[in-house]
Amino acid sequence: MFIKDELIYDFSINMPRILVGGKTGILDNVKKIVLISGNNVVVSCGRKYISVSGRDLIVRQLSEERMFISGDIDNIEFFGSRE
Amino acid sequence: MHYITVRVEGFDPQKLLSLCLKEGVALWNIRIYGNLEMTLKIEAKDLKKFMRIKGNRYRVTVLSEKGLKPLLYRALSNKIALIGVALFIFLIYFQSLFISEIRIYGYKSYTEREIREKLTVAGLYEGCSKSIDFDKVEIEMYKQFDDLSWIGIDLKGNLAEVTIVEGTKPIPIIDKEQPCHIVAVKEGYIEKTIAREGKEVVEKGDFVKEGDLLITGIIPIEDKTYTQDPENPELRFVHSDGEVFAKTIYRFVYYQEKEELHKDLTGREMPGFSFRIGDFTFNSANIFRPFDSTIYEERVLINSIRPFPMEFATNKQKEVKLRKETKDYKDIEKRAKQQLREAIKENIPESAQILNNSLKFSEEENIIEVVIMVEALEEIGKKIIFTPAIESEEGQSELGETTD
Repeated sequence: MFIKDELIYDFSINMPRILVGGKTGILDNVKKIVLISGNNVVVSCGRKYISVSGRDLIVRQLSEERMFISGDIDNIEFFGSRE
Repeated sequence: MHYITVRVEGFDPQKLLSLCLKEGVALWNIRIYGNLEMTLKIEAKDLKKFMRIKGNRYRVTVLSEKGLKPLLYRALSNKIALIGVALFIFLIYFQSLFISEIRIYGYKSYTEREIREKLTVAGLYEGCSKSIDFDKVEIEMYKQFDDLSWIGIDLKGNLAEVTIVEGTKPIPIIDKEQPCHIVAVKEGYIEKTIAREGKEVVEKGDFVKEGDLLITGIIPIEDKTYTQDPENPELRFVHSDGEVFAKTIYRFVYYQEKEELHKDLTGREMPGFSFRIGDFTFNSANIFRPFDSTIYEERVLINSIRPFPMEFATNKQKEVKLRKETKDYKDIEKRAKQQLREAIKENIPESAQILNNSLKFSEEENIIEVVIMVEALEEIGKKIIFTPAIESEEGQSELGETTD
């Protein structure tokens, strides 16, 4: 990765960013929660949206624009207008 | 930390969560139940803010409180438990004011019981206060034991460790003016006599028994100037001094078994454990004994005396096969020589010089008798004080104080 790309990645505060591993997902730049249930979590990251669907989803922590989700994650989707 | 778990009921729970996110209220463990209900955990300090955010749209019920603060509140509200804890702390503190155990190290000629008795007299006993003056106890012990070189009392919690160093017995002060004889303390063949004072009465090669006179302190005055009564010669009484060396014979009998028992491990073993709390002991090896012959190995893991005596150990019973093997002559001789060294160390004084030794073996039904003969050269003289008046009148010594 070039430095320019890395900087864009680091400073893209209104873009969705998600890190998933095993039964854990960490969503960054969370600005607003659009929909939340045991099977689906949709959050707004400013310009775009992230949808995490699965089973027995629990929000372990929600603070400082970061959401920590645990459960069986089946699907991750990104929504939003094309730029 | 102080956390509160709440149940939130109302429409659009996501709106409330978004507001919390915006206002900087941290939430944990958000669980959604249907469209109208969710539970979450919140820090107590944020609860007021949370209640303001939720307004009238949601109903909030506190389910539980966790953390140090509620725990303290709960504990402090239970008066009986508080009294119990205070009593427990007091008991622990109270029992720490006394000495619960005394261990004694370093004694040789005295028995532990003797030392304990003297320590009790000096003021140190199990159950006495820890605030006693240990210097006074030490001084008292020095007074009670003449040959005590050093005593140290070390306090480790409720345990008092008493270390003593015994010195040599005090040398009795000999009055050089007091007349005395030198007599034999054991039987032997006289090898050499050095009389610094007094008159030799034995010669080289003489056999003497215990108590026989070796150097006499009575010396007749031979004066050629005046004639003397041959029946009542003039006598001079001296304090005999000198050394008398004699060859002494020691005979020791030891026994050895003809057959040696060998224990061969079979590889099978039974693990177990044991523990001791106060006087109560339990050992699984006493209950489970799967093998006929075993070697018992124990490994102590916990051994403490505070707040109460406690020990925990793991053990193994290793199965062994017993096998008897007849000893060969070399082994018997090797063991006999070892017994000879032990016999010399235990029975013959260090100052004695070993001149010769011999081993004699005789076989009996199941055992071998080992007769050890040791010839040693040692000093056998001992001073015995006598009173000249009685000696001169009755012609025999009045045994008084004896000195080495």
